Amino acid sequence: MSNLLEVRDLTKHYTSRHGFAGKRVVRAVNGVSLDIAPGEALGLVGESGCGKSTLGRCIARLYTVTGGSVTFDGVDITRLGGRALRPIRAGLQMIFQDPYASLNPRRRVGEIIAEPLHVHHRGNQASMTARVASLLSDVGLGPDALSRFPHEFSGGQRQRIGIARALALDPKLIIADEPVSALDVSVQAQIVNLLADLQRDRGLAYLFIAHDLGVVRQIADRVAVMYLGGIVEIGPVASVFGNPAHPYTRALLDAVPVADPALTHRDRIRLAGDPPNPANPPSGCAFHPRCAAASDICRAVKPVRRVLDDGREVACHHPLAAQVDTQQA
Amino acid sequence: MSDPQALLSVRDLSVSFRTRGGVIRAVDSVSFDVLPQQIFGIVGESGSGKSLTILSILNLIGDPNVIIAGSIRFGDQELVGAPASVMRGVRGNKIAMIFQDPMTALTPVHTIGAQIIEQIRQHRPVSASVAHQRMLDLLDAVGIPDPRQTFRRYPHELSGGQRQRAVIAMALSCDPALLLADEPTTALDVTVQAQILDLIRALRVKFGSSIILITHNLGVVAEVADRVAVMYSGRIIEQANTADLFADPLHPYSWGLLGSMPVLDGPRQRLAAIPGLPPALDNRPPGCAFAPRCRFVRAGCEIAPPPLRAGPHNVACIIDDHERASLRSERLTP
Amino acid sequence: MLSAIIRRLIHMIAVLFGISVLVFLIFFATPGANPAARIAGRNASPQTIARVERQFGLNKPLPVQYGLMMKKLFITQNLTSFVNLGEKVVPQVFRAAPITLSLVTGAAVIWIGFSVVIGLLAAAFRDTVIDRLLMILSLIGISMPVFWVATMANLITQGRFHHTWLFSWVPPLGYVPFSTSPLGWFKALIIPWFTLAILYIGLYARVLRAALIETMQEDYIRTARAKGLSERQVLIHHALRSAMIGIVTLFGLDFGALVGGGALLTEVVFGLQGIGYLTYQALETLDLPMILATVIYASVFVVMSNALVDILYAVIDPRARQAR
Repeated sequence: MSNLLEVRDLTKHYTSRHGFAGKRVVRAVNGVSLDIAPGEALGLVGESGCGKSTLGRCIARLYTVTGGSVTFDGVDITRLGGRALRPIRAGLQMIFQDPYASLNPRRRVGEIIAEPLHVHHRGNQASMTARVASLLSDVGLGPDALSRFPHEFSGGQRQRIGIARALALDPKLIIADEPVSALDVSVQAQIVNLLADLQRDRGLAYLFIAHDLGVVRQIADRVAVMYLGGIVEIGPVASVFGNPAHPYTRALLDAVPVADPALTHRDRIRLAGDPPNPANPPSGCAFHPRCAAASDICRAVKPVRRVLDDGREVACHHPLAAQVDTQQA
Repeated sequence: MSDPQALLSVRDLSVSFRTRGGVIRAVDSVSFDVLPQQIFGIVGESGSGKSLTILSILNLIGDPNVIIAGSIRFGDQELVGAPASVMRGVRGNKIAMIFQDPMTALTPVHTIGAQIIEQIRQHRPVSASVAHQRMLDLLDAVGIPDPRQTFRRYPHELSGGQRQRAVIAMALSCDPALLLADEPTTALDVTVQAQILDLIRALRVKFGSSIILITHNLGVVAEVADRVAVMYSGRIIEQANTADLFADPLHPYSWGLLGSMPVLDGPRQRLAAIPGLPPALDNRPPGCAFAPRCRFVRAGCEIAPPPLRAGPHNVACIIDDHERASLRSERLTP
Repeated sequence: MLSAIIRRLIHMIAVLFGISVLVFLIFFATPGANPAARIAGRNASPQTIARVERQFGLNKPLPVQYGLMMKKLFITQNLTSFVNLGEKVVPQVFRAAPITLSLVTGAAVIWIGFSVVIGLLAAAFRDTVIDRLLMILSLIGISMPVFWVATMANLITQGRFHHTWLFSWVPPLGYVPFSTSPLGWFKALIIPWFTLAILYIGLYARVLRAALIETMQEDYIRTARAKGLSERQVLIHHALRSAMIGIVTLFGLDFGALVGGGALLTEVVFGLQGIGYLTYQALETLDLPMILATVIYASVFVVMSNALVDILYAVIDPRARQAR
């Protein structure tokens, strides 16, 4: 058991009332399994509505889980609640997309960062003050930030404050939900570098949720690609991005605009249509209506995840690049 | 200096706001030409003035304290200071706009069909049935499946990509000579963004419109634009044909922007991020606005804003070409 | 659709049940409340009180009393007043209801019409003299007490100036049924309508102006301008409908409350014997069956106008059609 986080068959269903049509079950996350080793950064990519944020929040137990299990640091936290969850929270922190919304506007930055220390009774007043100051400098903010309010900071600086707060309890895992997507390119690069440095210096593990594949590549060791509530491909970043096995991964990579006009007219897979509705998923493989390689088996049978010989796993009946000698996962 | 063939010619455009603390200049001495059927990209971060620049073309800033100065010539028509009735005849007719977020850009209480027909009949004296047919043709042309059913839908009933297609159909309804697209794909998923960029490219051929495309995403510009202007703190700091700009960027800010963009191929390197933040508009340094963040800053930078060098590849930077070549090799190894 | 209506009906019945129990308990089961003594009158002998208790069933257990009351109110409809013995309560409510409905509906038409026009004008001429003038006027309208306006209207039209050409058409105070004479109905109500509407014109005009100004900041307003529409087209075709959503909520609450008896002061001053008037009399004499009947009638209207608001929402806002 060397994994820090083990997620098995995690499922999250919502019931949404649809007016006159009655109730509908939305399968936001549908049987997801993944592992994160200590100090490892797992990227989680996918388009809006694929369930990546919901998955992150289920793992952080901000949401109740419909089925499956979440094991963090050897403890099954799937059904823990309230007080029992508190020591877990110290080791598992979240960073959110919107630094504006996730900081209390009426508290000073010093109080915001010290709050988790108070809640978990870490040290006395003096040691807390010292700790907050060192956290601020770790994220690249000066001590003058302590007594100021969040609105006095720019978006990138606020994200630094959010990161400092998440680091306060020395967590082992940080779940970062689109931490840089609200930021401008030049500031985004600063924060991406900061997150990469923190991981290296502190041995942090990340579950790094983002829709921007370039940002994920910059941070993650391994990457999981989600489509309509399920993981379609998971493996080392170099192999998944360099040589995608799932047609959806390939299409996602091909869709990213490249800042090099010489490359724009290269051969690409273009997806038609929109992602399907999780309340009414297609039969068989969820991706088959948009997939050029779809065959009868794709329409009928949901593919199971299997291990390719380079260690990556893919849920596809006809993986690209025809990796040989596949076996059941 | 203005290109006689230009469809739109912007000269020394400045956009300022009267505030209690004095007049704040958000766009400063911006000049560019858009040729017929050209896709002209403007790249910049938030606060760079790129949105204000294109909103001022149609006088759509909508703030009573705004002052627009300079010249915007569209054909033989001067748009700066044109009376409201003239502007109404231009808006949506000769120059149309596509906005960033198609969810909020369409009126939620009208069907998309009704919103498109409204624009057609605003500018064309056609019967209801002709306008209706034109609307169906437009929805078909932008790739909306089954227009005869879809036109009855309300914006919230469509997906993000379809909404943006409807917005584009509406913008095209009077065959505008110029389309202004303000971050048209930023609110969309990457696979849908690719579809919309393909559509924009195709439309230039099919409808023959020029397009000004504003974005913060260098990749988007590289994919679709013919010519690019890079804006920083209200000024254009570099302007060139797309291929030249990406092959040989001249301004240190352009270097920084390119270095900040994570790439999907090649070895993984630390991003060459630009330190610091853009200056506040009411506290811009007297010289080059980028000087406080520039690795190559020198004494001359802080005196006056450097002028935009003339020629096909314009840059506003005082570093001379010889030195720039050696600095660039330095930037490649951060 | 059908299930939504059924759900709505069940909801309505539950609300009515709750209200009726509450009113019943307030008057019959609060400590110190002794309905029998009240009916028997002052200084009644214990024997009389006991007889009254038997006669009205007040010696039975509370749930039974409640059941009897409801049966008399809804099924046999022969619940009689405690004060004017023998007078049936339900027909009185039915006699008063058309008067109140006429008064409130007419006033509502006036106040919606006027407030939309004023709100639109104020928003269109925002921060100009016209806007300020209209907003001051509407504030005056809100500040004037309705009974004072009504009394003044009476003084002018019924008293001093009644014989001038301007007001000689004004009929004497009181109600004329529509079925008797539509013109008479109109003449009798036109002044009460405006009197009742003034407050709401002021209120709604201000709310609508604020909502319009907020809506004018939306992205789709900029889109509408970019289409080349005039400011008037933008305001009326694109801003007004979204801005009306807030007004509809207010309208449902106000209309329900007024029909349920909230127009009391207007009714009293103009001699219109509507629901408010009836409730007022019943409260003065503490006529419990009458109070019960009018309160339940009122709550039926509040619940019904809520349902009406939901329908109006769906008409105005296509997004609500799906969500509900």
